[in-house]
Amino acid sequence: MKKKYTGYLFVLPHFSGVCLFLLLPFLDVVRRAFVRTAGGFCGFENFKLVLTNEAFRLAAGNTVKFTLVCLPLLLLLSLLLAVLVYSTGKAAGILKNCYLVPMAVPAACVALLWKLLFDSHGLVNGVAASLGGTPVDWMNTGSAFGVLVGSYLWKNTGYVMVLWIAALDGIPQTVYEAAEIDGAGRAAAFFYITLPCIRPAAFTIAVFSFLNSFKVFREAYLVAGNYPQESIYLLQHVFNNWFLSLSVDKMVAGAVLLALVAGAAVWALQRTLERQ
Amino acid sequence: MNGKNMTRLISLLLCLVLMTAGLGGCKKTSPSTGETNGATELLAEEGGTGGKGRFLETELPLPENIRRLYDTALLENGTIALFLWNDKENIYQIQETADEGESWKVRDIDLEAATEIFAGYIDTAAISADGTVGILSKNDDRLLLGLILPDGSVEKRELTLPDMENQEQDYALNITGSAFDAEGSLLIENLNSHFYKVDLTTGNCELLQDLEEKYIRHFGVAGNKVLAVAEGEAVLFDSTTGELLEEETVLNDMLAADSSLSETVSDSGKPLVFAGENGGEVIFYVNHQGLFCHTPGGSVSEQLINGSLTSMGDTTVSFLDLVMVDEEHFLLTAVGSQGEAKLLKYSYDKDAPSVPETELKVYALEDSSFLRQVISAYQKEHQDVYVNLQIGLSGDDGMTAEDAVRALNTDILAGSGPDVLILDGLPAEKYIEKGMLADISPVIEEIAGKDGIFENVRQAYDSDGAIYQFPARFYVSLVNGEEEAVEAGSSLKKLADFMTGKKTAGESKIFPMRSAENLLEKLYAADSAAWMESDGKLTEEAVKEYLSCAKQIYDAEPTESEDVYYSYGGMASDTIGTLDATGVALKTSKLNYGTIVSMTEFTTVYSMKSQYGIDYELADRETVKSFVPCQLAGISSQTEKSGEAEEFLQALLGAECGAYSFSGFPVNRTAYEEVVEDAANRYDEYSQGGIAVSTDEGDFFEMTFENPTPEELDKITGILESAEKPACMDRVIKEIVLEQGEKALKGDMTVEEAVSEIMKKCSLYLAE
Repeated sequence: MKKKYTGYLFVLPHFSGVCLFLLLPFLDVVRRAFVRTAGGFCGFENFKLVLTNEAFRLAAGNTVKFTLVCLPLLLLLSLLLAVLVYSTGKAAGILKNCYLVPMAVPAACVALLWKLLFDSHGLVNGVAASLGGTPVDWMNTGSAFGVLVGSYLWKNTGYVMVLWIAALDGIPQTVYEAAEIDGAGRAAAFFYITLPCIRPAAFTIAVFSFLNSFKVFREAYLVAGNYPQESIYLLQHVFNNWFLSLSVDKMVAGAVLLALVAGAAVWALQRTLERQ
Repeated sequence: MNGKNMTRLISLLLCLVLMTAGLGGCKKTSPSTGETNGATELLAEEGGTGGKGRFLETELPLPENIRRLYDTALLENGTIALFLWNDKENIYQIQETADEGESWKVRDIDLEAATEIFAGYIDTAAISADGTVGILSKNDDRLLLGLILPDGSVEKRELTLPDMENQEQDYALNITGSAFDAEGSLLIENLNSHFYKVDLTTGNCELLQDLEEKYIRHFGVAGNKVLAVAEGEAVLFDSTTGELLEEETVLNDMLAADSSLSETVSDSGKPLVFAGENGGEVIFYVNHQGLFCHTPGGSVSEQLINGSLTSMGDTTVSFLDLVMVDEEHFLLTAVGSQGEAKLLKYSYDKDAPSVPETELKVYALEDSSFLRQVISAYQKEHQDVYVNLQIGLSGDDGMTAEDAVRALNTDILAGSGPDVLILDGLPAEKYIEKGMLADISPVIEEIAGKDGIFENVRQAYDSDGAIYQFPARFYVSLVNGEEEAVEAGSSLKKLADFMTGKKTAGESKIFPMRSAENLLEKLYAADSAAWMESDGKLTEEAVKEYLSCAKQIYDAEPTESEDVYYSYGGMASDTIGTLDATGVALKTSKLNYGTIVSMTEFTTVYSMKSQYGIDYELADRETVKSFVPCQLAGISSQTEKSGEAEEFLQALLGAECGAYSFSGFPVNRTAYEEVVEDAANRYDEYSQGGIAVSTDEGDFFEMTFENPTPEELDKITGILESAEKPACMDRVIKEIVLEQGEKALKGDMTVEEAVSEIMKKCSLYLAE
């Protein structure tokens, strides 16, 4: 009994912070979702406004598309790298550090790098032109989406790889040795030992990466401003712009919808992994 | 206590510390918006509004027709004396009042004896406590001191400087300042920063200090101490012995922190003035921060008056003299932005709250002298209210307009937003849409009934009988040039074709020197009013026409013009498209196109017409007759001080403040008529102005400013009255259009591509 309460005591400071700075404000957000900006209850009017808002729908579509493209790519790529790095033995430490470097690069520097590389007169077009290729206006055409995906993968792969390696570390070597004695090859060991053993970690890593994908807005905003090429116009752009125009009604309703969708996605993922 | 319990106790304490630290940041602080005017800080320092006792300001009447006020003094008999130039009678006068300005008496002077003094160039004069006026006059390389005694008799001395050969001769006889010290000795300073004490009986000068190396900007006297202000420091010396005194760290720090305090003095006053008590044992000084009291050697100065609560805080005002009457009364003479002299009295009222109990928050994205003047005028009439001016972009912190708007919105949502908003650069339409702005039509109606108002402007902001935003000032775009060019300026299409036609004919220097951005800005001001449809959407055809024409105009000039523009440093005023009215006569262009923001500018336009036959008309008038609003004001619908906010709005839009500024014409008709009246009588035989320019090509151009005739004043009034629609002032749309437009003009993308990008981005913005 005492042990049980001791645990709560340790959790209490952080949890009180979460309550105070996240849960309680979010409850206020939920309340405001049913109120007009200048005051007055309005029922579901704000939700209707948001769901019929063209900008919101475009941004939501782009965000879903971005998540569906990036998340699987990130998880697979980082897992592949994790397995390769893990198998290198002593060199794994150095390789891990190398892959983590992009995480340490500030968003402002990444934005500057983007501009240098992908401006219509930038390095990439310069190289393309010198090789006889046709310059592309990367940030003002559909290719902006590809640039955004690439940037997200470049920045986050190393970090997720480290998470995968931590999960791989938790698998006892004796299991692999027993499988080897039983004649299992590398592929069989990966599919029948590694994957089942890292499944519990996969949920955490997937949720983490999903939430992290929202941070890509910083780079997109710094490079292309509030109104970027429409394929990289994300939900965060809408929320940011709504705040600037004091559209609190739409902002809070959108936030509630987003929380519901994100919560549902996490729940569905958890259920799927549990079922497996 | 065993070890386990100790561990638990420590853990518990650590938990508490963590929680407390986390909550530590939750205390209420000052608003997150940028710079404030100091009243909030003072309120915090005073520990709320409970304290009593404050200096209150009253403006004392001055004699009429003062062109220049040289010195002010409080005489031993209690009268206030002024030495001034009366521009109606064209004469120097000493005027005195014994009843705080209720009546002024001109001292009879022996004018015949003063002829030689008054005939010279008088740059400085000083009045002693016994009423003797010392006038420094330079006449035929002779430095004369005229002494007008209290009985009106005049004595003349020729001054000889003892160290003439040791200094720059050209500047030695230019006396830049004079003052009497507590002993009644006259001190003078010349342009070489040499200070002398003048023997009034003989005219002999004794060198007190040579501060040439310091380059003194201006000086003041506090008792027997001279405070000479150099860049970043104050040099103090004894006025009787000339002995240098210990440096005052407090004054030096103040001067180092604010370089404007050591700006070179001009006819219109100083940024810092001094007075003293008991021979200088206590020094008083006034700057825009307020009135301070400083004991020499002390480590701090005590603030007696917060400048933001009085006229001292108006940054367009400069100071002439500070006079200490007694501990509870001070006199300050100052000069306003229009050159008008002011005599201000500050009296301590022990029953007045130390800080006015009512705070009115006024927010503006950018600071403006006009707004400061309005606040000052309002503050003077409402001493029970202090106006807390919050500036979003102070310019000191690298904050962007977007950051500032975000901070403002945070304050509004937190319930601590401003009461009055100056909506220039703010998303006004969105605020109106959200019901954040109150209907101000009753205020507008009241002003319209009292002073009259430009009806075209009122109609432009009328929204089904309600008005949520209203500009205090506005201006229009004009085109001037020869008849053909003026006709071409009636629409962008005609202008573009005119440019192409001239280019085809092999002509150059058609449009004024400009950058792509500058050209886009000029055309935007004239044309953007035509872009918005009634449903709030952007018309693609109109934007396309704008960009196509801009491109055609840009391409019609040789590309070197952009380099030339930047080689001139890209004149700042050009970024708002100011009309360069003299360009045609200078042969730098065939026409000029841009905004005209004041009657002073119109005087130039008129003088061009009168002397060179260069006519003018409203630009783009066939497409849309538009105006550019500025100082757009609104009242927050959430304010609890709607009464004070409305009174402030009345001051902002009122006749008194309307005539102040040079940035736009006032919407208030009474104020406008005053501006017109002033323009019609500005130049006479005593007051003249003009331009003379010699170009690189050897052309010489000369023009004298003329007062516009009634017919021409009617014409410009008609142009202002005809402007029906405001230019599109939405910051986001303007930024998008100019950004993409510049790319199109410079050839980075086609006009069609730029229009497509503009429409996509603007549609997104408008759809949000």
